Amino acid sequence: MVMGCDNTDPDPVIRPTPYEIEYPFTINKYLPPMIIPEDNPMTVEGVALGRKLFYEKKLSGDGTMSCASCHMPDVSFADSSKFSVGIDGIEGKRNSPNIVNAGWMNDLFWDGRAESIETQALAPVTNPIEMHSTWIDVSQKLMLDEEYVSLFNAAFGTIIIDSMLVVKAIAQFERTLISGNAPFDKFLANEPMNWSTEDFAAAYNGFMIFMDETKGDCFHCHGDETNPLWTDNLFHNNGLDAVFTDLGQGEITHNPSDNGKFKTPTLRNLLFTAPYMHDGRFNTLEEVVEHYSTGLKNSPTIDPLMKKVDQGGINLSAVEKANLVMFLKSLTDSSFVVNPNFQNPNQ
Amino acid sequence: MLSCNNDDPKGTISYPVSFAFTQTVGGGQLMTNSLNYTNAAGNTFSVEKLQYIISDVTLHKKGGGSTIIDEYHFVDIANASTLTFNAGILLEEGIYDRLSFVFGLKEDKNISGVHTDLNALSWSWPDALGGGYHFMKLEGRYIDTLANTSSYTTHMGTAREITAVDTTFHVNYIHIDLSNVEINISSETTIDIEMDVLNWYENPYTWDFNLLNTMIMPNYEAQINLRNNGQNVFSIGQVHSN
Repeated sequence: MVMGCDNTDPDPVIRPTPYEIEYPFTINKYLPPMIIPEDNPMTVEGVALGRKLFYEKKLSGDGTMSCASCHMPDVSFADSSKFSVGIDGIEGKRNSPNIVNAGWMNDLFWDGRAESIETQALAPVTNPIEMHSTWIDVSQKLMLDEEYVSLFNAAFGTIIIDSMLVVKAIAQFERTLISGNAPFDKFLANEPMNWSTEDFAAAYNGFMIFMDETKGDCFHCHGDETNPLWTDNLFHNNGLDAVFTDLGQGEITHNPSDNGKFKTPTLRNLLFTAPYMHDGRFNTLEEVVEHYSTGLKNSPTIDPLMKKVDQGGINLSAVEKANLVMFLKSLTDSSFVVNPNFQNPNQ
Repeated sequence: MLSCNNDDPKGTISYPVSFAFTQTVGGGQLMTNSLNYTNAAGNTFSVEKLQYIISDVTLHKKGGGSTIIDEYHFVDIANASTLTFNAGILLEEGIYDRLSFVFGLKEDKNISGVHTDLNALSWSWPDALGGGYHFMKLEGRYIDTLANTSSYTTHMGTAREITAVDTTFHVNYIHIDLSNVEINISSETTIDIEMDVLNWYENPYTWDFNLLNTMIMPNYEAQINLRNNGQNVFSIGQVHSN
């Protein structure tokens, strides 16, 4: 859309329409507003372009992959495979994280190597085991497409398409991927959850375990009812391995104290995002909870929050573990994965 | 927000004042991940994480009058941007002989869910323990009695007391009062507020990590001991005139 256009003006001014973010109840109540980079304000045109680019296979070397190939909307923008496979058939070494409420996240990737969504979006396009392209090639392909030239002009006021504009648009779209309509959100908003009395009771008891420092003690890293992100946005070694095959954050900082630490993932939409952990080693939530209950392995950088490591963990009872899983299920936002605004516009 | 109750005679010059936070162990600069500190109980320990909140910083002018900064500030030694606190205050020139603040949050600020920045940091204190927010997370490792390396998590907040007849929540913030100081405000000034980590674990209560390591949030006595020991943790370091 071109606004403020004067037909007699040889150099019309492009004024994209500011994008109004709609915050769900819990997010609006408990989180600060999303931090939008000054050099990438959200606009209706930018978000629409970013959505189209997110699903655009021209971003890959052979035109077979888009961002959505590894971040699929029906599984909360994660990948159901343990490791995603790039255009050359090569597996990555980490499970693709989901994209939920990314506008509040910092230090992206499991190892935190990207400080912003824009920076993060730059990497997969040129990664040789992912989309294996070059930004020159991508820019040329997009500039040969008249529709993209028009869309970039509408969003950014230029017909010169480069990597920075591509990632800015994708970041704008990703910032719209807001999830805040899970049964637990409804409970906090005094809306009906439509859960059975038994399931509600189990989830409630699970939340008590979640919040008890002497039991699950999940809240220190994953937040609570006042942190709708369900992550502390920090890095922890959660006792997966005694010996590291993947250094995680330490690979980036080169600080041995960071070895084996990975970004705390959000607990939102876990029912869609299996397998779990940075390497996708657990297929079910029950396996995840069992890890914290009895499977902890000691190492020099294990997080002090991991309790009773010498006993393998906190040793929850079968009922406690089942309740905890039921609570985790209450963080599932089914409306998020079918939101029409998030689907592929290129079909 | 800023409120002043001092006289403000016309013609008096005021200067910007900010605060910087420094951390020491036994007087030496804190080095994280260094398992070679010794507390009063004889435990060898390290510090990996130190985050805390101070609020209601107040500067008291010699002869009367004070200026309070009606805000809280979150300090994380891993995040350099949190190690300075510039509330945008202008302080009337002169001698200030007392600096006070609250370690943690008083009741009017320690309300669950109201501070969105703290919410996003997962800083809540569970409602079952009285709600509000953590005042401090101090974490690291120590050498236990079996010579193994174990972990401690010294987390502080509202103290829950359970008796045979009742459950009571005790506000557990610490009113820190640093008097007998002389801060001369005659130009733009930064005041260092120094925490000595060692003092959390002694005077009056000698804290043994073998007895109190993790899961101390529901431990009423441990929370009260932290409050008592915390009276002696802070001092004023250097005062920088720019």
